[in-house]
Amino acid sequence: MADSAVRAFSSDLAGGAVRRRHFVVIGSGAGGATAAWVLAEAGHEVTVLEKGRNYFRGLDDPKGLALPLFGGDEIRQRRGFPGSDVLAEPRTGRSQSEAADGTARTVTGFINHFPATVGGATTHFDAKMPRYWKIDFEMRSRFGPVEAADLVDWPFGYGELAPWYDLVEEVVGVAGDASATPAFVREQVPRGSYPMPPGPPMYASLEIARGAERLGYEAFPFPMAINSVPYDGRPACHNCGYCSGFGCPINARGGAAVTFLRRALLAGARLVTRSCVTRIGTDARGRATHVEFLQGEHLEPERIEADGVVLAASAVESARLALLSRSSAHPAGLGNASDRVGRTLCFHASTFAGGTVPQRVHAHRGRSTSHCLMEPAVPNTESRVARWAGLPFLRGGVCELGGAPNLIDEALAYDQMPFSDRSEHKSLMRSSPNRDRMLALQMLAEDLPQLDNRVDLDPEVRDVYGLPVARITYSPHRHDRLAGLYWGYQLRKIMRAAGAESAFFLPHGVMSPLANPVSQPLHMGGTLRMGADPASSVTDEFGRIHGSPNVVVADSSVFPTFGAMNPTLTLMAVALRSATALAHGESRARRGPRFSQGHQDNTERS
Amino acid sequence: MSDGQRGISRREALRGAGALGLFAALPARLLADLVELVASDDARGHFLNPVELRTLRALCAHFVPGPPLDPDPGAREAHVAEYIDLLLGAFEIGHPPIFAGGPFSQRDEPGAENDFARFLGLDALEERVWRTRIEGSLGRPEREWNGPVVGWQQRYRTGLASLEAASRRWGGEDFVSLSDWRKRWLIRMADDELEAFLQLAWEHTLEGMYGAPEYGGNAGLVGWRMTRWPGDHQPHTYTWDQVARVDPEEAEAERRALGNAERYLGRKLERNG
Ligand SMILES: Cc1cc2nc3c(=O)[nH]c(=O)nc-3n(C[C@H](O)[C@H](O)[C@H](O)COP(=O)(O)OP(=O)(O)OC[C@H]3O[C@@H](n4cnc5c(N)ncnc54)[C@H](O)[C@@H]3O)c2cc1C
Ligand code: SF4
Repeated sequence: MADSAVRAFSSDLAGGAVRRRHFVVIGSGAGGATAAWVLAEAGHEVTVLEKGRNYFRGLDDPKGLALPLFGGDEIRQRRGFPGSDVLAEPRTGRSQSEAADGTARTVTGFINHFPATVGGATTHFDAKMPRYWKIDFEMRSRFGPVEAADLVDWPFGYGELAPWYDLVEEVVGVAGDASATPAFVREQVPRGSYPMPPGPPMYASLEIARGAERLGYEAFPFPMAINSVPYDGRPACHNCGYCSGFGCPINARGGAAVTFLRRALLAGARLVTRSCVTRIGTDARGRATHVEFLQGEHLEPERIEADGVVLAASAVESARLALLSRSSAHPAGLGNASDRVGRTLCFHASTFAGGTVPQRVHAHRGRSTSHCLMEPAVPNTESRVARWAGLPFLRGGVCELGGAPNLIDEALAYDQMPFSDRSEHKSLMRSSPNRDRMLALQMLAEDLPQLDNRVDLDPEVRDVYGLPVARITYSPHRHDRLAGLYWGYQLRKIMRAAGAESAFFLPHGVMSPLANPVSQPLHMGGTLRMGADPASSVTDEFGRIHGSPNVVVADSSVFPTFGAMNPTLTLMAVALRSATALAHGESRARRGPRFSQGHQDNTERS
Repeated sequence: MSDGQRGISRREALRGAGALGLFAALPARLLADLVELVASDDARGHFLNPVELRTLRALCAHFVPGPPLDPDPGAREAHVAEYIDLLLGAFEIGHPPIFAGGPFSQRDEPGAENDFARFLGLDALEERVWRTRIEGSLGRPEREWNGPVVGWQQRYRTGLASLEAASRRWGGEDFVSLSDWRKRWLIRMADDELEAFLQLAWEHTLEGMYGAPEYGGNAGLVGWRMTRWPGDHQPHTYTWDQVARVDPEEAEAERRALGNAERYLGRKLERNG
């Protein structure tokens, strides 16, 4: 492993006098772990408060990690392990029109829940780690405005983030193949080589890729933080097949816990589990002074003083915590003077295409996907559909090529068939059109930000901690519905070209994005947006809350737009940059990580 | 075992075990015994009484029939009703079998230690939530963070009773004795409340049929054999070729897929790679 960049960055952080301060990091997932590492390496005292339990072993053992307690067990997963129990912590939801009618909620239960556990949702993610494209940072100036959408540019561009991307990819260990990446993607994400080559291609992914190629698309290995070779003391993936939605049983997947959090703990950070933060306290000027939380399995109320706070509880929960943190300086909630907290909530717009093929495709072997195609992520400004609908462009997003790996999910999927009375259950399970003979593809498309898509506090429903739960008001923008429909037809053609006897698609919005877990992309952002103007954003470009600058938001809440790619690599890169500003000041963060010679467009570093 | 797996020893796997207090010893054998104990027709369950258990067995077997209605074993043979009863009685047996352990079941290695069988201990907060889900809130303020909850125990008790009542009303006999098509029509006629119970029982049936056997169902792995589903058998997994290529016995079907694509595209295709 070439960890020279990581070492150079760490020693740069450790160098130079710092006034040692105490930072409290809320959440040990993708954002919190990343920020904790930077702050601990810089010599600060760091306490990570994590609501859930820890199922890893040896995270702070310098001799190495032991195997965790995860495993290939669908029942445990269905029971909410490791900590996304909807009875204990439901969310509520309604559409924009229901909200306008004054309906309090129409859905109570699972809405894009992330596991609450050490490592956060990255214990369950399948680690697809593409970079956002250059245009993702400039959607407003390049393609906007769009009616009824609050499209804005990011405060910085791809060039500024590129060296932080390099660093994250090295820490988590991304496997990919730069040379196999199509030219139109390379132009958007100029980059060097990956830390590792791609792992084994999945047969189901390859079959779809072949179909796509027959129609002129260029599918390629998905960049993924899954070890294809032993890396950073962790083994190569052994293709167990229980990947997305399951914890990795051998630590081959580069989630937050075994990468950034482990490094943070080894650098001296302290992790306190079963600590549910209930409020960030502020002084009369609005600066954070302490954090209140319920500690342990018996929920003892505690308080911890802090010189600064990193808020990284995930986009829905961070917004909820900001709203729960009312004080005299922040009467409407932390950073909510302009009523922007919780607004512009984005998921990704999720469109499925599937097809049944004659042969068994065994998607239960290996990772959850191995290939992607990205043509739909190119905004089409010539689209007749868009013009007809009065939109300046039509944009889909990244497509993940694979199959359907779970058995109980398969059985439940047949219930969705029209007129299903379950009498065909066993023959369906034997012939397996929805699993072992199914090619499946999910497109995760840009979800245009809307002010009325938002998180607020439910007026009645409570969680097991006694706190009002997050209420989500969400309706897809008409662009997103149209893009799902347009691309759905195209993706169905891919299934046919891959040999499917019957092919279908489910465009975004056709199944309720709040009521139906199947249509939930498990990506979210935008609720505490960054920007220069406090009237239209919640934080500045370093995640510092306007009016409370020692609170730094380090998760995807800060994303001004949500892009058309999986968000976590970008989340971590932004968190690195923001945490560096918190640890050492913004000029250090602007300079980029020390190892970087500055990013050169179209240069392939080896 | 694939290349990546080399080097992970059992010792490594066990390092730190117990240090977190997450394990509790509920050996697989004991769990199997607990299920076996209930599996005979007149036995009392861990929660359900013999009559309820009989009805539940008939319901699950109706959902997933076995011989003679279907050549493959079904829910009765997989001990699905016993799986559900064990879930309903989870807090009656000392150590609730809610979350199996990990990481490896080592199912392919006779005599090897099975991590799944060592169930994780629930902490006080998890126990409060799971008791609420299973037993209901029973008027206890600490279980009513969101108002009263009707637990699964009560839902099964009343659900099975109303299934029996409906069966007598419409079919003139108890549910167990109804013919298969009568059962089907009875279920079709269910009112909203009974329908909600049947949905819960259906989902639990699928878990007991197709889930890991450590939870008490899928006896003899009948659910996995029928579906050609390997289930977890780590640390054994798949080689590069097994991941990337079609299995040899599927090659003919693969050729058919190529033919489908050819017909769709209207041209002759070469298989590449
Ligand atoms: C099944 C699945 C597959 C996914 N696949 C991908 C993928 O392939 N690629 C990709 O880019 N993304 C993927 N994601 C999404 C990815 O996991 C998230 O984008 C990422 O984890 C978000 O990071 P975060 O820091 O915002 O939140 P998290 O990682 O969820 O971390 C938040 C942490 O905060 C804790 N917390 C919350 N509230 C409190 C509180 N009040 N007090 C204390 N702690 C609290 C939580 O317990 C949690 O540990 C997937 C997610 C899932 C669930
Ligand atoms: S497929 Fe690989 S990365 Fe995914 S859970 Fe299994 S071993 Fe881990």
